[in-house]
Amino acid sequence: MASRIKKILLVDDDDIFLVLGTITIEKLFPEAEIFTVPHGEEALEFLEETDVDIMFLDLNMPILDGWEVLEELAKRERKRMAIFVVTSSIDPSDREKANNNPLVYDLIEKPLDETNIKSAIKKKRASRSK
Amino acid sequence: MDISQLLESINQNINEGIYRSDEKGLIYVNKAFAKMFGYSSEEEVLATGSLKLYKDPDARAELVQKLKESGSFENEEVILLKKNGEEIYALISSVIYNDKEGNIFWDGAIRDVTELRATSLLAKASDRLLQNINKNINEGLYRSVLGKGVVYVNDEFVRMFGYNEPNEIYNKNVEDLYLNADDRKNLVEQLLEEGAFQNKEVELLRRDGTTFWGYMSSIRTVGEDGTVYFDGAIRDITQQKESDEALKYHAEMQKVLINLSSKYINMPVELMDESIVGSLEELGKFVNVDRAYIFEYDLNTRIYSNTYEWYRKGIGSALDDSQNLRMDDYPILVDDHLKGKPIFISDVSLLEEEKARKMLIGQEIKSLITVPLMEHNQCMGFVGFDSVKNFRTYSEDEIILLKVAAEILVNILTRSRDQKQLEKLLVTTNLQNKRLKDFSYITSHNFRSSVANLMGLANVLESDPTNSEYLGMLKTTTNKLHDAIENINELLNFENEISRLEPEEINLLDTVNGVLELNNQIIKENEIEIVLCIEDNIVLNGSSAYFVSIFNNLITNAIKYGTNKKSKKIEISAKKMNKEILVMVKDHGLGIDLGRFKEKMFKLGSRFHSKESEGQGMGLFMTKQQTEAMGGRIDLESEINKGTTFKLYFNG
Repeated sequence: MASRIKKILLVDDDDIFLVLGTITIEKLFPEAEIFTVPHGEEALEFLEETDVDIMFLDLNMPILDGWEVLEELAKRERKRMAIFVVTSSIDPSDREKANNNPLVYDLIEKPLDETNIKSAIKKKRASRSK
Repeated sequence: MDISQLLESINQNINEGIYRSDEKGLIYVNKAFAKMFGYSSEEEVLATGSLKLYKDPDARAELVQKLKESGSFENEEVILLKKNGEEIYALISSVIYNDKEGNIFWDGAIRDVTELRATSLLAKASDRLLQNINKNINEGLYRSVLGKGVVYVNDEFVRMFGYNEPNEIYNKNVEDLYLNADDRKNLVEQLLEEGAFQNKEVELLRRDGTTFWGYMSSIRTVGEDGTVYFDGAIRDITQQKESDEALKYHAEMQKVLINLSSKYINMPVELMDESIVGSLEELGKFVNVDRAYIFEYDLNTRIYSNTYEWYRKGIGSALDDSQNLRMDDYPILVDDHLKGKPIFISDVSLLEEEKARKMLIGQEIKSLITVPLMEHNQCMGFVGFDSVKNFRTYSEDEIILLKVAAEILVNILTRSRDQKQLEKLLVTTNLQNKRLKDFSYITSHNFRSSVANLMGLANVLESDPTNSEYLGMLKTTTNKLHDAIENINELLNFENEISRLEPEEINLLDTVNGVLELNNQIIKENEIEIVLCIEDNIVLNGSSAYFVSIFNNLITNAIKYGTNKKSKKIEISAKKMNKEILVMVKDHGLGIDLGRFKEKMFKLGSRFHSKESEGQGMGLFMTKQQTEAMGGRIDLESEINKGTTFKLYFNG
């Protein structure tokens, strides 16, 4: 299944997170091409040009935050993509919003390590097979 | 003509008792005589003898003696006795004769006046009664004749209308006794139609032109000759009417006070302001004035303002002209209140203090009364009543009413004020709660993202311990964690201090210079050009620590985000405005798209610059909180590629 994943986008304003996240994702999806952008606006610009299979989207960002990116994406026609919101927020309203947003596969709490990513994907599959 | 027959006929038909008598006794009596004395026949009388007919046995001898002396007598009053012993009051007339033989006899006539006498006694008695009544009665009695006027009045009537003699009234036009001539016309009409009226309230006119209220009753009678009389009585009810009106007034007054005191029980605070105006209306209408209002004193600043007002239609509002007045400008309108006394001005134009006079005349006031609102011996303001259309004086009763009303208003106002404070406190507390909650999410977010990075870095360093890039990241992350902790301290301090903020006077120029000093190194390193345009006499009120924090944040923001290689100028300026002091921090950098970001600018956790990742979304949030905590406000203007100006407004 990993081979089906060709392009992955990582959106976060934290440079260090992007470096560390990229290392983690490379291990899980060695064949995938990984892109990073520092905020929501650039993410939307990137997605205009390029279709990706998975997007890891930080919520708290300057200029355009994660929720605003999702709002904009909802208006667009686009190829099917798995979106995971990634956050270090413990605000329960964020979890609730994520659950209620049809574009979001799941919410992953930072750090973005292998275990967290695997369990999120597993959870999504389990819910889809029901 | 047979004379003797005529005589006999008269004798038999007459009502008077006719008799002839001599020394020995009665010789002849007619039929009427016998009837008068209750005998069945003349013969029976003659047989009884004359002496038995007198009540006083000596009376006959006296009368005979009189006859012998004077030859006759007329209408001598004698009490006679009937056969059954009843008394007859009689008048006797008699003439004495001598015949040829020298015999003496006399003829007489008796008239029974028993009934007549009774009637006349009665008449005399009722005359006296009438006189007594007339003297002592409290009603004015009169008789008037249709088309002719008053023909009789009693003493009270004369007194009531303020005249000396009844004649003065008889000579007057009746209508002149009424205040409204129409009243008389209507009453006469009613008398003619219905024959009588009772207890009509009529306003009557005294001789001196004053008026009084009378209760009138009258009946129409028609005399034997067809004359139409109106007989009537008048009672002066002025006093009664006055006391009735006083009673009504007091009842009304009670109603006003009860309304005032009961209306506010359990009233939600948001309805109270409107209701207070309603109560002023009720009070104002009751004491019949044109404006009613409440002023509240601030005894610390010695400023006072009109806070509630009611005014009649057609009368202007004075509310806007009555804001933020200085108590010291109008001592005559204020000083007595502070001592708990009402102030009454019967004629505003006679006020000696020019300032007060001009202000009140400007509001078209003729007379006014103001009553202090006392809260535990301290004056919190006053309730006042303006008369614009007429001059007005106040009775003691009215002043008492206003004082009681003032006491009730104090209750209402303090309750409303306390409730408002409570609700404000609730809003503040809720805001504070929300802020703390937001804050805890943001700080935990900031901590967790740094910690997550540390964990990630620990992992990668394990497999590549000498990678200097990772080591650099480790340093950046620990610094960021340190900043997050610093931020927490600052915010917690702010929350602690916000409640016990003691304002002090701060020199703006000194404060800004101090902040520039703090940032001296970074300004030099980045070759920033600071243009300072602040006069050295501008003073702000507030917390010194807050001002330092606010200016430090705005200046460091301007350095970080508002300068670049091309533009390094930051201008800091201040100017005094009407009531506020405006401080501006202006840069000439990239600017911000306010159309998109204005709302987010001051939100906790908002950031706008992705490259400079040290921002944690705290700075502008704190700046706004601190500014508002000191009663100021913050705004900004920005144009893309031209620069950004932050504007702070503080109370001067």
